[in-house]
Amino acid sequence: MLPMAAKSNPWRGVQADKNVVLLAEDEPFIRFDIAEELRLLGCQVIEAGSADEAIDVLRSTARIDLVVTDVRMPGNRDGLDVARAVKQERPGVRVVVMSGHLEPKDEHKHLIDLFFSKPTPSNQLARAIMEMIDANPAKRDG
Amino acid sequence: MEKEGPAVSILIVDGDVITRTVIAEYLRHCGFRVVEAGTGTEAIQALQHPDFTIDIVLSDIELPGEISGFDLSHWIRKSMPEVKILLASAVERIADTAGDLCEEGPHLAKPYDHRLIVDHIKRLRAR
Repeated sequence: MLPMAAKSNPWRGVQADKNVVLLAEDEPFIRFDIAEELRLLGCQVIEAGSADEAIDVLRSTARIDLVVTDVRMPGNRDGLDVARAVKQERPGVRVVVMSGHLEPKDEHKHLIDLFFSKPTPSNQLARAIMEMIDANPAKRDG
Repeated sequence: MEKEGPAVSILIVDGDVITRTVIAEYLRHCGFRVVEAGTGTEAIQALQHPDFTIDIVLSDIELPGEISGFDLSHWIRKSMPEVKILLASAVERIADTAGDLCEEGPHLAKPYDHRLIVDHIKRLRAR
C-alpha cells in the first residue's frame, strides 16, 4: 500500500526531488536523445514538439525549473517566442537556446541565459544544463 | 507481452502535450522505455528511425495534422506488423490503456493508481 500522501497526490513522491526541464525541439530523435540524457542525470523532462506546445506547458500549472528550446520549429511561433513566453509566464526561469542556423542577435540576448550551436552532443548539453541548475537552483512554486 | 524488463519500448502518440507528458511519465515509472510523438508524422519518423526499436504504440485516435490514429494504425499494420498498436479515443481511455500496460509488465514499479492520472492532467490545466 502507498502512504496516504502519495495516494492523494501521486506526483508528489515522483517529482519532489527532481528538477523539471521543459524541452522544445521538433526533431523527435534529437529531442529523445537530449531528454534521455537529462533523465539519466535525474531530471524530469517535459517534451514539446513545437513552440506552441511549449507555450501551452508554460501556461499550465506544471512546475518548470529550466527551459531548453530550439529556435526553428514548425508552426507560427519559434523558440524566441518560447523565450518571450518564459519571461511573461515564468519570470526567473532560465532559458537555454540551441540553434544550428542562428547566432543570437543583441536584441534577443536578454531572452537567453545560455546559447548552444547545434549540433552539440546531447551528453555535453545535458551536463551544461545540470551545471546551470546546480549553480542557480530555481525557486520552487509547488 | 512477450518481452519483459525495461527494454520494452512504447511510443505514445498524443497531440496534447500535457496528456502525453503525464501518460509517458506514468509508463516510465512502470518500467517502460517511452518515446513521445505529438503527430502521426512524428510517430512514423520515430518508428522508421534506426536507433528506435518500438514494441508497442499507444495512440490517440484524433491527432493534429494529416495522419489520424486510424491512419497510423493502418500504416503500422502494413509496414511494421510486429508492432502492437493500441488506439484510444479520450484521455480517460488512454489512461485506462496505460494502466492495463502497467498491469501486464514489466513490473518495475506500480507507484500509483492510473485513474489518478486524469485528475492530475486536469490540475495541470487549471490555471
